Amino acid sequence: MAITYTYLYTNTPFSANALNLRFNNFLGEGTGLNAVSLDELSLGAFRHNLVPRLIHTAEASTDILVAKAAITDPQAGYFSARRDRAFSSPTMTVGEIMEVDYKTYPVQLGMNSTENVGAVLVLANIDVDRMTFTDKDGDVYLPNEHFNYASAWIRVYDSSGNDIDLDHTRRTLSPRVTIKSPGYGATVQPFTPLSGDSNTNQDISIRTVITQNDLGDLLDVAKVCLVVDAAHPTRVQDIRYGKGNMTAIPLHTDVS
Amino acid sequence: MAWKYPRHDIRSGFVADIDAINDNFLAVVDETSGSLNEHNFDSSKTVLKRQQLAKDGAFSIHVTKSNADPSNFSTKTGWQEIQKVDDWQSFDADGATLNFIGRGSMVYVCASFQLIATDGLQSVRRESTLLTDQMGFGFAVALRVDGTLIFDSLLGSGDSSSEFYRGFKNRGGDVEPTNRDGICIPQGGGGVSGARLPVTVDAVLNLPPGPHKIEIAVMNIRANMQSSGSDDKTYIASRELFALEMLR
Repeated sequence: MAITYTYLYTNTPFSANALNLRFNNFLGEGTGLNAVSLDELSLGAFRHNLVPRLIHTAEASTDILVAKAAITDPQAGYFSARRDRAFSSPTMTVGEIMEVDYKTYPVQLGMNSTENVGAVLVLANIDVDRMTFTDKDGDVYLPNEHFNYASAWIRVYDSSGNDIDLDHTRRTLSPRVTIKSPGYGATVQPFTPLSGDSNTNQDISIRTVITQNDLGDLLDVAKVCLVVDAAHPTRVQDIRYGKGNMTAIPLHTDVS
Repeated sequence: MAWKYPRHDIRSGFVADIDAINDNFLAVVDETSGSLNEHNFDSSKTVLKRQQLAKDGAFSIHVTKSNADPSNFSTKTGWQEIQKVDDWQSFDADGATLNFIGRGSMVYVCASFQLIATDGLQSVRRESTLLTDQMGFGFAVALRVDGTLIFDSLLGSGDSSSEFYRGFKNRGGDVEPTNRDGICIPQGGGGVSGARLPVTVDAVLNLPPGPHKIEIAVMNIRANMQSSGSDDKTYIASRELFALEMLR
């Protein structure tokens, strides 16, 4: 019991001393309400607005967590990013194609710091529009299903600017243009004229939970990036990437 | 305070009553001793932290993952083999099977992984393996929880009982193409297919307390997928599987 109250029974002598005793138990120096500790409080009665939130950082208020980004900010929100390109204008950009930057609120993982973040949940998608590659003779070819591929993975930066690639998030996608008659097979055909099913139009989707074990020597998580690549061991590939989105949410959770 | 204090306003000239005095004290004593609710705290400023609560008090996430490199065709280190069998298969390996003790709650379960159905080579003419090149019926992918496939998580179908199976040149049969033009005809069906294919499946489930086993489950529909003419297996490379318990 946080406070011991001596019940006043019927027919109890009713005097100033009797009242003062109860006031003293209740509000006296070092007793009662003046000495309630957290351990004495029963937390089981707390309701949804009091229990820990799934999305949580100590420094960022609720208003910040749910704030809409400014129109000039390419980020859709504090924990999300998007690649807002028209279907008609994919690009051959490679490298860090999207990023969620926690800016002044980098988070330490492990629930031991003030942020109380156990992990970061990442959900990333990027549309691969089309692949082509240049063979040794310099001609541009349609891709081969077994030979060519696009790749993507998640990269994490800390507040000192150091980074680490998360190998378990590495994904590759084949061109999937096998239905197009002239372009398939080992003896691929020159990439002209464009006809038939020559585009890929498929997503690379990555889901991962970043934990302390993934960070190596990194101090914290300051920025999460989706990296795309067109590299190939023996050929020069050109890969067009279209729309994309990425969410990186600091989770206020135990990790096992 | 959750309730206005004092509950009974005892003013000059009132008859002092024992019950009123008890009520005034007990309203506060009871609340501080366990009957707290949202009225007691300013939720816009203070939120309880996860570590102030018991293990079953709030959120808990369980994760398993594998770095198996999807470009390592030479050694296939860490890759899991999908047999050329028309049935559901799962894999007892990091990143593909997750065991945890649940505390009874809604659970967000998600798997993200790399499917591979190729030898990664272009150097040989592939007419000898036309069926492989056709990348035919594909895979069905799902989550398996405690031995039961979760229909909500199913990606791809290819079930000939519910999907029209077109077959080679619309003849309805599983006929291997005999020439180059043949591989341009899709086998049909609803499986996910590709030489290299990143896949994500997820579901939100209501799991009872106790031990749970969550697995990535893959079906090689009609045993139609293989990596090459000399390798009838397909593979899972880099992968991750996690379950977020949302406890209350």
